Amino acid sequence: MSSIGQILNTAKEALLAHQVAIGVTGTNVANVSTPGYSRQRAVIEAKGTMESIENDVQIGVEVTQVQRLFDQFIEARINDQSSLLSYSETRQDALSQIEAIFNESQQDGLSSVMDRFWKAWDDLSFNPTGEVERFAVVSAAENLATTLREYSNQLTDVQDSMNSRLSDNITQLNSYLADIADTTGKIIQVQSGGGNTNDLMDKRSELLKKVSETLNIQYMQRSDGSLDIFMSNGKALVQGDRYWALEAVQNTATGFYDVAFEEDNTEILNDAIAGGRLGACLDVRDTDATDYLGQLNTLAAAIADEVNAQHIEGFDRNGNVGGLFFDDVTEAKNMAVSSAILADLSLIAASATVNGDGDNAQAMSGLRDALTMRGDTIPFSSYLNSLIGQIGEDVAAANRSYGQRNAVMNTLIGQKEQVSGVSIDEEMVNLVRFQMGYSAAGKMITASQEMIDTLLGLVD
Amino acid sequence: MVMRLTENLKFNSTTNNIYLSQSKYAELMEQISTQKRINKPSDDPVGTRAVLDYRKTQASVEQYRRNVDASKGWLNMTETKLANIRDLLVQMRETAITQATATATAETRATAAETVDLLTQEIYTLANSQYNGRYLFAGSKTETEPFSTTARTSTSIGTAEAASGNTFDGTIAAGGTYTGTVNKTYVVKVTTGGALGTAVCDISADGGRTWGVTGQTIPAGGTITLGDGVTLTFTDSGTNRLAADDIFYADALTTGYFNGDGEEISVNVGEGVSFAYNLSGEDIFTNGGSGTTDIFRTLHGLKAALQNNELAGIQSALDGLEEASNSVNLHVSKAGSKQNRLEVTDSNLVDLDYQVTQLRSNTEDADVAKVITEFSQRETALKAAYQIAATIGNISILSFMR
Repeated sequence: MSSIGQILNTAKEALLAHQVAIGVTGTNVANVSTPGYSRQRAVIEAKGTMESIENDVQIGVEVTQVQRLFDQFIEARINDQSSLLSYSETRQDALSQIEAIFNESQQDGLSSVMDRFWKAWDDLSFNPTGEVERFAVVSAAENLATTLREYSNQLTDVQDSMNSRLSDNITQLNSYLADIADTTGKIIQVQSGGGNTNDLMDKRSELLKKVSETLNIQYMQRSDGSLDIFMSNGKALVQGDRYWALEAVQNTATGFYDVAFEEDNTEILNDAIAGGRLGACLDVRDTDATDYLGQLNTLAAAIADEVNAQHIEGFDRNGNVGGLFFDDVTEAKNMAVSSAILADLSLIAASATVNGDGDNAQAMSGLRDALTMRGDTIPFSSYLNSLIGQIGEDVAAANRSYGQRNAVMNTLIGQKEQVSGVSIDEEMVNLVRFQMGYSAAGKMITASQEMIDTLLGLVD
Repeated sequence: MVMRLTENLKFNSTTNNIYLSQSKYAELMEQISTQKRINKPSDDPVGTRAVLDYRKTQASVEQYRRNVDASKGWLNMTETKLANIRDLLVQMRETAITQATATATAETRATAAETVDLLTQEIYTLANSQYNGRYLFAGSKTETEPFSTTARTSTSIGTAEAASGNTFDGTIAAGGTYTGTVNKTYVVKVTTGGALGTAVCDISADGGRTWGVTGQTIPAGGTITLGDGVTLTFTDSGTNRLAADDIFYADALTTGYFNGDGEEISVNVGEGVSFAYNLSGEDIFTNGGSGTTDIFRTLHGLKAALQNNELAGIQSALDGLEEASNSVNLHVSKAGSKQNRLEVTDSNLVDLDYQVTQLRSNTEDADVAKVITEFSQRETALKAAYQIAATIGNISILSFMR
């Protein structure tokens, strides 16, 4: 048998519990568009019993906790995938820039400039003494040299931009790590005091995702609320409320940044970074662009070598042995027509004899098809074309992997949303439910009051 | 389990769908506007490589055809000039035949000598013709007038020349007596510099194209033998000695009227295919090298015989004229057959160009009908995506609650 006082008390608890539940629903609705927000749920439990003569009677209700609906396994997969996705995105973006450099569909692509260079020699072979033809050879050669230099500069620009992105990302990463350590500190504190850490946890999950986007990490959550983050080589980035910042250290040999810990910047961590934006910056800068640049340099050096070798076989307008036509270069960025030729067109060695026959110019134009590259198996043009093909393949592969990873990411986000996302429809239904509960509890109070009135009426 | 469809999920999937439709739409739009399937290497890396190879082939073919055209021009001119010479030789032969008869007198022969002289001058003009400023019949010495009007009665060795870029500032002199049978240009290239006695050189007898003698040490006396009796003597000034790549050259000429040489000059008309487009005056007009008859000697001989009223001389000139006609005829037909070869080459190049254009088009060009069909499909899909985006927020439980 419960007393009216107990009924009133129960009604009060019911009112409060539903008020909290409506409040939580309100929070959910308010955060429907907040990134990283995990929906919450008021856990309402029956509270206590009172021993009566016949049986135990429920005497109340309370909100035991406000639960954060969150699946840490989906979260872990999303974080892994974030590393892969942001790696692909960054690499795809950079490679597309490189592809644009080598877009040969335009009129002045390297291959057409090369063609015009050989053509100019052909024309010269027909008129080895012609000033116009000599001028045409030099201007085509300068065009070729300029184009090679430009391609090289643009590739270097991409490397430089990757390099500064690397440094920017490290700065950003350090602020994420600091925030995570700070948030963890608060979580530990709040949790030990028995408080609600839901918002802090959401905030930290968002930060963790951003760290994953920056580089590939491993992490584990501990029962005291701390989150330990490690690099792939096992070095800790965050432990409890401590963190270790990274630093972009200038490598004196390459001029580019290396990644190291701020505390000990002698140990280079580049090899431990395989994913995320940092991984992409390093890969594009040190692998992709370096490879393309290397091939461009090989091509430029070979053109300079072969042309020079043929040029010194011939005789110039004055019967002298031909000198260097291009500067002797090993890198495309230095490609240039020799200053002596630029100053005096008569130094072009167009003839195979001292008599002005034009046959050396003919031999020069034959270099177009001569097997000069890859151990004398393919001509210059094929070498260039296969470089362009390779870049195209790399870009296509990067596009594909981005597409696939994006699709996986979307699925994972869908799964996460199913658990943690806010559905307005659901919240509205809950609202109706809690509102009904609240009204019913109110009714209980009215009923109790009437009961008391009745009792008091009996006394009168 | 019932799926919880959350608000974020609805909006995310809508925007994703729009992005996907848009990007495919833009890609198709690019294909339609450029009419090409491959617009950047990553569209089809293998195809790109093929297209670039085809493009290079097309550019080469274009240049080869240009070279073929220029060679045809040269040969056409060669043929015309030789045909004119042939006609003049026929006239001359008629004159000679008339004057070889018993009815001819000293006077008629003297008049005929005038005619022969005029015709000879014309032949000189023809044999010294130029094409684009280059002498047709001078072999590789295209800047030297190939035939002179007076004969060298003995072989001659030209003045030794030093190339302008040489370090050596001493003097050089060519000497000896040339014993060769064709005109040559001797070239000495210093390979190791130094004082006389230590300097080493290579010697070429064909203008520097090939080096017949290599590693020849220049003796302290300074005289080296270039070949066929020609010597070259260096006199050191003592200051700027011989240095590597110093070039010295001297022409060695046989007797007769020809100043050119018998070298071929060629042009590329295909991948690794070189085509010699000149006919050397040596072969046509002289008896040196593979030439058979000294035409100008015959002509000068005929004139002299007519002036001197020598029947025997006229008769022997008749034989010479016949040989001359044969030689010129032979070379007219050679010029013709060379042009035929060029025709064949050209038509092969045209075929190749056509095939490569086809291949390139197959690889590179968009199938417009197909692309446009796909484009309108995509357009429908995109419209649908927009429609969904516009209606997505319209319906929820809120519409039914008051």
